[in-house]
Amino acid sequence: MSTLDTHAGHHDEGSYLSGPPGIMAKIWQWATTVDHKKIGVMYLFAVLFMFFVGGTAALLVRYELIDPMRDVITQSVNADGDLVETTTSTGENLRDLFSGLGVAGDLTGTQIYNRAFTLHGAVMVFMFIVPSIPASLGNFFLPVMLGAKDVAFPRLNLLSWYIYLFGSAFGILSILMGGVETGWTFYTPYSTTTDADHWRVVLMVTAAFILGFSSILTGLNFVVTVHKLRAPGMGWFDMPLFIWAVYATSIIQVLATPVIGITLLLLIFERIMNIGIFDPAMGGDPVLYQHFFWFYSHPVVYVMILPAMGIISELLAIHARKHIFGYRAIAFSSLGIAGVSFLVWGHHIFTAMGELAAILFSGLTFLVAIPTAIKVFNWIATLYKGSIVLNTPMCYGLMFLFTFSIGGLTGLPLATLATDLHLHDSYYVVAHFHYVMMGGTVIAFMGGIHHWWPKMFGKMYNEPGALIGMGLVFIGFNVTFFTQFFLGTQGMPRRYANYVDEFQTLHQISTYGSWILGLGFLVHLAVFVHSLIAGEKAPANPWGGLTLEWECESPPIEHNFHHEPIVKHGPYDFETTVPPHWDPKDYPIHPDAGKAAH
Amino acid sequence: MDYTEHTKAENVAQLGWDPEDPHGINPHHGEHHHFIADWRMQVGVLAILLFFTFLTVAFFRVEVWAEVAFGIHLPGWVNIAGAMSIATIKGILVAAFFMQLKYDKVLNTFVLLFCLLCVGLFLGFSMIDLGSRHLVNPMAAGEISTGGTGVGLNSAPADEDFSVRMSPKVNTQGMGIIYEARLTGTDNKDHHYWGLEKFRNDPNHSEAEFWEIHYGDHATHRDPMDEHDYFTQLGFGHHAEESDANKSRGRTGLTPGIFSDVPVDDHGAHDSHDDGH
Amino acid sequence: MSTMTDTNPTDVPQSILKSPKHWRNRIAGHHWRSGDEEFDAAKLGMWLFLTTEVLLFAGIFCGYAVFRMMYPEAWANGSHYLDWKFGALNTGVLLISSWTAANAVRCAQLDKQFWLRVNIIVTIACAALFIFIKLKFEYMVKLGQGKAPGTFFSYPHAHDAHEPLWWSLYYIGTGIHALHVVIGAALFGVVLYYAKRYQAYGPTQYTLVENAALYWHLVDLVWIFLFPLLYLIH
Repeated sequence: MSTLDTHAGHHDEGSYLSGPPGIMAKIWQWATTVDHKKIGVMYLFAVLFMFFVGGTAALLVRYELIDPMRDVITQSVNADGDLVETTTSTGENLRDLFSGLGVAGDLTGTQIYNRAFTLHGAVMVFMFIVPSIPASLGNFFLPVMLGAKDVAFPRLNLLSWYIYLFGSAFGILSILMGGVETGWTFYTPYSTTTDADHWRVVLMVTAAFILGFSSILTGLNFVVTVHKLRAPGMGWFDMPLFIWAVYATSIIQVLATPVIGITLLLLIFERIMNIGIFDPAMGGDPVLYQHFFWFYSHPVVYVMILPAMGIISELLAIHARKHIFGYRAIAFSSLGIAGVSFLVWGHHIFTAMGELAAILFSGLTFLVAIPTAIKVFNWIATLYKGSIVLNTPMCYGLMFLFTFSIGGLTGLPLATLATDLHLHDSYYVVAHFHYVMMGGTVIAFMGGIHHWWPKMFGKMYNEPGALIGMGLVFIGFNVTFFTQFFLGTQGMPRRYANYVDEFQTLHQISTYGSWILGLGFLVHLAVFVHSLIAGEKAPANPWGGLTLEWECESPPIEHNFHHEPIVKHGPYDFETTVPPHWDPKDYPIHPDAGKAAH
Repeated sequence: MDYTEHTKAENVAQLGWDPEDPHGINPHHGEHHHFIADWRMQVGVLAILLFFTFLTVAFFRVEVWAEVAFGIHLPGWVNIAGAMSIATIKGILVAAFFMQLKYDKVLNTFVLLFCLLCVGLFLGFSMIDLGSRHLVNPMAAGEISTGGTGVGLNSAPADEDFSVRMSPKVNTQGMGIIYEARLTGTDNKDHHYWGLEKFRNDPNHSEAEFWEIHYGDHATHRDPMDEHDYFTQLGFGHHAEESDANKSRGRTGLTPGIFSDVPVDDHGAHDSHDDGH
Repeated sequence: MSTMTDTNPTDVPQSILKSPKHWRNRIAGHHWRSGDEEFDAAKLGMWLFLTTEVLLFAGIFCGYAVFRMMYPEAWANGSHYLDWKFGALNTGVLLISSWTAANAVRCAQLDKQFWLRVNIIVTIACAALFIFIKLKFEYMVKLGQGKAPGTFFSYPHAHDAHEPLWWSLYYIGTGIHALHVVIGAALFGVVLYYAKRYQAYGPTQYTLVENAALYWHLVDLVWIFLFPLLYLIH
């Protein structure tokens, strides 16, 4: 039986959310806090805000694509009786929308569209998804799951948060000045030669550069925390799998992010001074930029997915009341994915690379599917003969298995050289990465937020409301993005505002799907707000979990634990351990729990 | 429970583990073991480092002198290999002794080595790509013409009617390179290396024979060079009806098609166009 | 507490002895089991940060390697422009400063406060000398001759069309390195201030000295590789 967190012998401490009286004092407390929980909560609200900004941009993108741009020639008879032809253009939806708002200026519809998808990509990648799970849920729960009072370097954690704000401010400034048209990848030569308002590109690139430092410092903090601050009795293989995932993520963050730093710096120098490294006229190579860029950006997609996989391990085990199948396999495959992720960046550049390099990268890319598949099979085996409760976290976990598997499998035709030739830069790629990033990371993030919401805020959320939101998200997501696979194989290129009529039906369906998806997230937002205002009080362990965070109160006290916890059981030993603070009314458990394992 | 009041021995006896080092990673933990460098060792390392600096400069100067005085040309790699190995030794000395990796936990060394591995991967793969991008697999290449239009970055701008520039190697008379190859037989497929021209001009063979061989590879549509419709004459035309998976879907847009010469919504019996598809 | 026979513990004035920033009075963060754990963790954290710096410079080295492979003549010409004497002098200056930085750590470990400050001052002086040599005898001279990065390149006697590319990489590589020299010197400046004002570093509390020295050694390491690549290889 693990040590229960009793109050004996200590003064009564309020939760970490209670603060000094007075609004200014509270703001000051939150602005200067080094408490990882507060920082995690601030990150959570920031990334969710960025998600809505990026999501709005996505809705704008889809709104443009609902019909192609056409010139419609109408014939009419004018007052003099002559036949006149008038040409009107239709389908420039964003231009019509923004000129109605008075901000379109003299931009063409295509230019506005380019800025919209760049905004969507840049905000979603740099300001939302890369920090999302590590900085919010990771910050909050990594120390608690390890039994520590805080991360290794609490002040560095606060610095990370301020760097994130500072970098985001640069990005938002660039957007307010009108945004850039280069795409979130800032490919040369366009990004170095586009002369429309010089400073917007430099601002956006600087924003990404600064955000990189936030990422590096968070990763550094987590690596040292996992090495140094585990509770007594917790060896490496007693840690929850979420920690393994965040640890592997942090290693990638530390190693890969500096390369995007130097890349963006070189891009700025190329733009300002024409140093020539990416300019063919001076002997440079624009594809070299792509090598530099993707050396970071490929590992960063694993930064996006690994913590999500960690959350799924937690969700499926706890909500199916079953020990995780293949703990060590999942743990080592997290490290394996992190390692192999550095070997495969060239698969983004197949159509621009030499043959030999392309063959090497293609073979290595197939390799990275193996540890991922190992995890998926282990999760399915975890569910087998479990007592599955279909609440929101579990439903998101199951949705992950479905959508992430589709995303992963559709990566294989992109890894195959012959098929990638046709699918590169088509909507197939767009559908693939949305299935893994959104169908993977965002779905797991939503599941994790719901799973840990009671612990973080001490309030339960409204389950039926959340399930409705989840259903809308599931339907909306699949309608939006499954159609895009077909668009891609039929030849629709990505980042195009206009297209031939053949593609219109699928584009329309995709746009309607995006509206359902948006509605689903609005429902979730409403459920969250309602929970914070009027949610019922959450018990310490509503789900019957066995990891250390469930031994704290909901929400935890400032120092997380009253006494340093001592770990005497594994994180998923449901068959042999009664969960702490468990109330039979909250959650049914297996009748044999607590008896000796057989 | 405050463990630090008891001695380490008492804690170990009671709990089974040392509260200041619960995982037993650092057995000397309680002894506050910090390595203090010997000043003589540090001066010695500095002397060696300065010597190696002198050596690497001397190496370079001697090489230049040998070239000027005796005309000895050392191959390029000697220069690089020598300079890099000396730099590596200096680096190892600084890392091991000044940064005290030798006396530190192995984890720190491992962190540095893993980082250098990543740097190696980055440089290595990038150099493989940029170094081999110009290479073409000789098995698949066959006869290469240096660009289908002969226009390069340094060419004069195209003239007003954008007429095609002839390639210096192959003059395709304005035809696409693939069709030119098929006509003259340079497209390197074994069984019709003769090319269409030869089949046409040879009295012992006929054009129909050429197309039979050519279409025999599961042709699904007629080749635009097939002026006499041997595709249908030889009976390959039925392939077109088996599957329309590779055809555009019927138009369901809200307006008639943009391209007025493409027929709207008929399955199978479409015209073949001279543009090849 | 480790004591070696050659420690001469400094006499500490009362005003400093009472300050919470003095090394005898500083304690580990509340989430650490002991000061040693905190020190080891800080060192691991510093090594992780150093790997990010290595990877930052890796981008420059990658550009150098790739273009050297593609334009060997321009690269051979490039190194001829640079005066190896100044490069070698700068290398020596940095190596000596690396030695004094390591010595500074040692002095903190032995509570030799005066020599700690001396070593730090010498390190900072070497950094200033490095920047001075670089600016006055290299950058200013070269820029005056028109050997400037990118679009500012105007040297009329270049032999090879790709020499401006070499110059761009030279300025970026040495420029970013010089920036790190300044950052390292500033870090030591902070250490010097706290050492002078509070005697903040001693045998049980010298984390910042150690980490500043590690950063400085990295700056030195990068120069050890930059010097032959830019000045000597042809």
